[in-house]
Amino acid sequence: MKRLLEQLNTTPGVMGSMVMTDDGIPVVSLLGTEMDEECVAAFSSTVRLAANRTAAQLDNQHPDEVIIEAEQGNLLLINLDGALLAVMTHAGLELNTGLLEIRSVARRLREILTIRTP
Amino acid sequence: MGIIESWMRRPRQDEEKQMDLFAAGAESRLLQAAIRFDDRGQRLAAARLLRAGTVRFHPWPDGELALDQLERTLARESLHTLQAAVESRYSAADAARLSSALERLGDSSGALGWAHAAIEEDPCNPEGYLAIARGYLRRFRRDEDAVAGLQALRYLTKACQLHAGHGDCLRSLAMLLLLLRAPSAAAKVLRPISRATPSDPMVLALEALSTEIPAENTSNVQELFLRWETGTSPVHSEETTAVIPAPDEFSVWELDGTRALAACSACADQRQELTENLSVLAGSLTQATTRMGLGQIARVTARSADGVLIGLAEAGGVVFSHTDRPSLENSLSRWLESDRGRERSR
Repeated sequence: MKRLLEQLNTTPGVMGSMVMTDDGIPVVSLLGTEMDEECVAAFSSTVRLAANRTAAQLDNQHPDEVIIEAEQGNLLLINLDGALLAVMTHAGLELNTGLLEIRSVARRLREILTIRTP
Repeated sequence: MGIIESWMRRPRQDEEKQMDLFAAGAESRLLQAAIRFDDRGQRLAAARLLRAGTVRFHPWPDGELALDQLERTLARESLHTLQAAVESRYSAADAARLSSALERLGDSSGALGWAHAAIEEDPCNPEGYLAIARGYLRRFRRDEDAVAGLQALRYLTKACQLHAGHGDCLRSLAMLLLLLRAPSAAAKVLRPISRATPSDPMVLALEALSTEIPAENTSNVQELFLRWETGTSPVHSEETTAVIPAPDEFSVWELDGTRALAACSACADQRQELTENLSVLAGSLTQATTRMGLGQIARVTARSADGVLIGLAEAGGVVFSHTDRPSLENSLSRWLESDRGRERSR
């Protein structure tokens, strides 16, 4: 899992990434020294929960991905079926191309988690 | 209720005395009572009383100081035994207890290490999660740090899920809810304890606070956090909600700077629960991006197999739009950024 996050972090524009449980408890974190792991975990989980509740009422299901664009960077939250991948990127990241790489890593992380969950 | 039952339910003299300690302005009496417990060697009882007192009279610096000193003494006294226990018969519970003691003595990294070791040793034992939650809860109470509060909530929820009815988990969760000024939610959490031990200090603190704090009108903990942080709560009124002209396939909601519903499209769902969830989402997004150092929120896109929700920040508020046809995402996005903009300037 750590190796996949290391690979993900080499994608141009990606500042850091972490995998957390559905409850918001960090599993693996490679966020870099300038980012506060506690803060990213707490708020990623909060946003994800709020988005899940809203989408559950609108679509009867949880979103596969939530992309938050802000002035100085983006936060991408990808559902891993029982876990969550949070990726922080620079504001200028081309979301369409960057997302392909992130989705590919998410797919492999999902496979790892499926294998680990009997 | 029969005479015997009603007699049994009457608070006994010592319970009444304990209740008096949580009356308004009784801080110094409660502190004296805790000191007396401590002098008699009943340190755990003293700590429990002070913990409840710091919630009841929050903010109460003298109580926080006394509790801090007491907890440190307890941690120092037990440290050697706990270290020996971990070395001789390692268990998740021992590791969690050692973690709590180290945290009280200021060794945060050691405390976190042992708590994670406890979780690794037995992921289904709530003690490791509870040890981490206690540290966050203390930080939340002392520093009013929202991140610590949210983390405490995560770990407490996990611990309570793993062991429903765990007394310390319930007390800590109730403590957090009372600090968020949510007496109804705290009462629900404390119900098993208040039935079994009505004179439990946390139950008495809750009873005293319930007479002063109005019952909250939401069961959404995230909403409680937002209210706690901003000091305001959104008021959604159907009478003041304007209509946004929008294509039939799009539902649109506009939330103002106070997170209240200001306008929505004719076909938009206006159920209270959905409005509250959109309001919480808007507040959480605003809070999250600024606290994570990403600056002001500009836009959010949530994609599921059966729909797309796009939120656009504007004029202090957020406009959300939803379609249940994912293929219309680009049209929705264009409409939000151009047509919707023209409509607004109309």
